[in-house]
Amino acid sequence: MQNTLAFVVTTQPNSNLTTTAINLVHSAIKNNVKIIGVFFYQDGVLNAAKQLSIPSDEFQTLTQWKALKSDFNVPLYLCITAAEKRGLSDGLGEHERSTIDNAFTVSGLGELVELTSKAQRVVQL
Amino acid sequence: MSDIQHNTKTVAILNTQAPFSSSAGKEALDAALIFGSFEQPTSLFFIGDGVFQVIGDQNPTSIESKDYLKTFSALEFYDIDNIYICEQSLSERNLTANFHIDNVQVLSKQAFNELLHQHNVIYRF
Amino acid sequence: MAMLHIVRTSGFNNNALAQCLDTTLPHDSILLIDDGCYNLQHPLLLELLLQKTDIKCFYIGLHATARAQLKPADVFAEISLDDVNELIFTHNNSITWS
Repeated sequence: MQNTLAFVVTTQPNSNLTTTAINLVHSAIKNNVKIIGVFFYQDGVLNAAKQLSIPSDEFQTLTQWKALKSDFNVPLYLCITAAEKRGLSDGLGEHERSTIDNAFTVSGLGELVELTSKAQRVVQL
Repeated sequence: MSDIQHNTKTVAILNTQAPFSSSAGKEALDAALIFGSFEQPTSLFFIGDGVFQVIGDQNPTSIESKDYLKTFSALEFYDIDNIYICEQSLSERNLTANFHIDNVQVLSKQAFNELLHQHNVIYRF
Repeated sequence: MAMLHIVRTSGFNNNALAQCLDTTLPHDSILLIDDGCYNLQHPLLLELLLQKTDIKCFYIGLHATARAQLKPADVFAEISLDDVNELIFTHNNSITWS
């Protein structure tokens, strides 16, 4: 049976720690581990900011997360409470535009409970 | 939700930071309460500066900090009765067993570690 | 229950390493990644590994060499990011010390 894994990412998009997280997701996929989801919590929610502008000669975390979703179907879940506290908006309020990249699924901590219960292992990064 | 009940895991929330200068303590408590509301067996552990979250006689509102410490009293409504505090961390900080929540257990380092190891998933804040 | 301790910060800068070492039980493993690789020279870690020979310590070779941490003692085992998957599933649980 295929091993299943979930990640919880709490590091900021402009940190090399997040690069490591992305590389670990890739390596898990390469080793036939099924990633049932990545949950973004605490400062990790900033990874979903679609207006994030990292200089083009630096590692593009957002592009990499989007590729994990589009190329490997890795679900990306965002804790909206933690995100709103850090200036992100899902665009549901009046006169509000979403500032969250659409590769990310807006969700709550209930999704973390679900991932925790479903995955054989959970790793916090 | 039946999925979650079939695959119940024991969850430990490990608190290592003091309450006010970062949002880690509040976000740890938010997560604990959600796990509790989904009836997941959840324990709280306090080690290092994390013990500053549970000591008595604090006055968060005097420094314009929301008193999230009050929310600890909600834990019992979600059947989160396992609250463990590292005795060594208390004594290193010259703290006595004066806490703002009831039914906490102060444990020796060895007992604390053994209980922590028994959980399926550990989230550190 | 053997636990995998994932250490991502330098023990020269904060006490996450000391807390991690305080939390280990026999048969646990320690994995140094990111700035955790600076702990290859940390006296607290070296002392623990010499005393408690049932605790294994791994480090990501790529992360260590990137940080010019070039000659670790024999108590450390070099692995790749791919090997981390095996560690995750051969241990019961993990704590990330970042």
